[in-house]
Amino acid sequence: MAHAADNIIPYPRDAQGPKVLIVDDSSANRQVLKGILKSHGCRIATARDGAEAVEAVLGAHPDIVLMDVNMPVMNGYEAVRRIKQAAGDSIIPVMFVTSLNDDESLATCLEAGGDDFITIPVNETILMARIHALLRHRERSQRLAEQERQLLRYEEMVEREQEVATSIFDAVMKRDALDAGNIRYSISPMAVFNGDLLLGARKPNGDLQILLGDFTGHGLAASIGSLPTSEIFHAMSAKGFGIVDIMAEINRRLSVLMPTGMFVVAAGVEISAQGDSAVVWAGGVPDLLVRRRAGAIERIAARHLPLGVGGDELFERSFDMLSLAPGDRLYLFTDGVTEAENPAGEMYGMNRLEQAIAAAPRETAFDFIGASLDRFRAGHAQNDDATLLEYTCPATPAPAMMRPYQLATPHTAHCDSEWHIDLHLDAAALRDLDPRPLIAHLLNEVEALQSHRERLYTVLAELFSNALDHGVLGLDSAMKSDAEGFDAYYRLRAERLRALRDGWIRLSLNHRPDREGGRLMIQMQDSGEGFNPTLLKGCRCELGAADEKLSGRGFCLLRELCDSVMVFPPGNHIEVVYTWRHAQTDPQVKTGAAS
Amino acid sequence: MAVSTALSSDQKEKTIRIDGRFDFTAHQEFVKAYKSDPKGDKSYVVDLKNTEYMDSSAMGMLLQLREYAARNQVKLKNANDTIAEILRIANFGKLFQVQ
Repeated sequence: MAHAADNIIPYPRDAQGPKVLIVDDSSANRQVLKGILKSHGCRIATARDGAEAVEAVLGAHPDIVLMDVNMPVMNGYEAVRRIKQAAGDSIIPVMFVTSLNDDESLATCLEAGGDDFITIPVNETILMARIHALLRHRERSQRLAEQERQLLRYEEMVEREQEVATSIFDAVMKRDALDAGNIRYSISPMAVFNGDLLLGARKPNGDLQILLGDFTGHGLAASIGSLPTSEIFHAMSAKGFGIVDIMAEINRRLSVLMPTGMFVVAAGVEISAQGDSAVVWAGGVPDLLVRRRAGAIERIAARHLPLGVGGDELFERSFDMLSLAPGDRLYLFTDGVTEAENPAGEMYGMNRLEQAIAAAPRETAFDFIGASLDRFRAGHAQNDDATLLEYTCPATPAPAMMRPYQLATPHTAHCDSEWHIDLHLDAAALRDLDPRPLIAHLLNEVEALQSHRERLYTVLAELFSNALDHGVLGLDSAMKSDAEGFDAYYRLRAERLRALRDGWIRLSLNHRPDREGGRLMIQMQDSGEGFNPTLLKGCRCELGAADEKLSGRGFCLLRELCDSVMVFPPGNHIEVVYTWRHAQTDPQVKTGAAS
Repeated sequence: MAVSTALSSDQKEKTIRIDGRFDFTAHQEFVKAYKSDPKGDKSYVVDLKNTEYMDSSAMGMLLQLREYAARNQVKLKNANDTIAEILRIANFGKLFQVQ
């Protein structure tokens, strides 16, 4: 206690002595007490009976009352009761001064509410010592009562502030993208605020990005870092940045903002729009778990340090690439799950979690795992934030384009200007820069194209990947047909990109407005050798097997999304035309053309 | 929880031993164990032989110690299985010499 020194506070503390009310019907007694007290610097008020005493207490506000027992009109016992009642919250000690010295009378003094007693004849030293003791006690009690009131006021204030903060946090912690049938999650906060952070968003091309984080500590201090984290995550995701770029930026910001020793363990996962692959960047989190449809369980260990530990110099960009098949399930969780304790103090642990995941029936897996954890805990209080997320690969791949995109408010088209953009990327730029976010950003700025941005982004991304992977880097998409080839493909891609010395990609965007909307022509040309375009000529897209083998799913997508696709010999130059209509005049504003 | 220190004979390396639970309650003592040294003066060994448990705030304290040691090394030694696992998950091996 900070006030342990209270015991030795001397009294009186101020120049004015304490005000003492002497209550006695005998004027001789009053004079004796008055004499003693005055010589000790006290200020005096007097009363001749209990009734007068009650009045004097209310009028003169004494610091302490010396009370006789037997008096006319109202005796001392009754007077004490009334004084204590009238005093309410303010504390007025009462000491009985009495010639009675039988045990019973003295006990009655205290029972009636007296704080102390002293018998006549009064010993001066004892009297003053007891008065001072009572005044010190009063001082302490008053301070305690004041502190209690302050604490209550503070509590109310904190509650109000937390309400405000909670609504701000709720607004920032967006994860609408996780509200999908194949995603389940639970967040159980230990405090009002949560050291755990779960965010979800879809990139313009439909890739799903998830961030699960756990800040050091709990409560407000732990949650404060989630504000910049969420802002960066959503802003970059909307512009189409990859998850590793997002994690790098969050790390950069947090390492500046947060004091040494505060950090966030986090996993960033990017699942392709088709749900057939995932990129995992994990720092300091427990192993991620993948349960294959057939039952095998794989662990993906975090390769990296937590975010916010150090700046760019400590950030590593390596990630795990995961191929997924329908029915595979991916689990992300914080250590609150594995460290959940049962009443005996044992931890739930990775093995039990794995067993539960392995044993969980397909349809109700998430609830099954939750029930297993609850059974283990057996009502034992939770001592850490625990978040668990389950992603199930959909049986039928659902490309992002099928997602309806709706504008919050109808836009009027401001895209009535003609414009042209050329972009030339040389080998160095291709090595170090992903131009897709930049292009997405450009398209975001054109208001009338807002409702088309996902489709346009997909078109651009497809064109760009095609130009880079197959044109500049000379990779064969047939490699990706199985899981092993898939990994090999991405390894080879990274290798060739790192070693890239020659090569270029040229992108040109041409927009021409017309009355109903506009026409955007996109040309992508690369330094590669091209391929035989006759095979594609005049082909209306049918998602046939032969077609897929020929050139990957990309071209089919392009033909679905665009009005025309033309490939110029030798096949390294593609031109697509995308026509858009003002929302009001376009009866078929598309919720998905790939249906 | 108790924190004790020992200096090497050449005064260049300080060993900080944490007995019991290593969590936020150890913060003051842990900081006291090295704050008397000039910044960047010594290398440190954190002896976890008798440390039963370690939480993320303790990891934060280790990062603070690492910052304080500046270019000098910070070694973590004798971690029990549970703590070694916690250090592994956090990839602290990239920042500290874990023995």
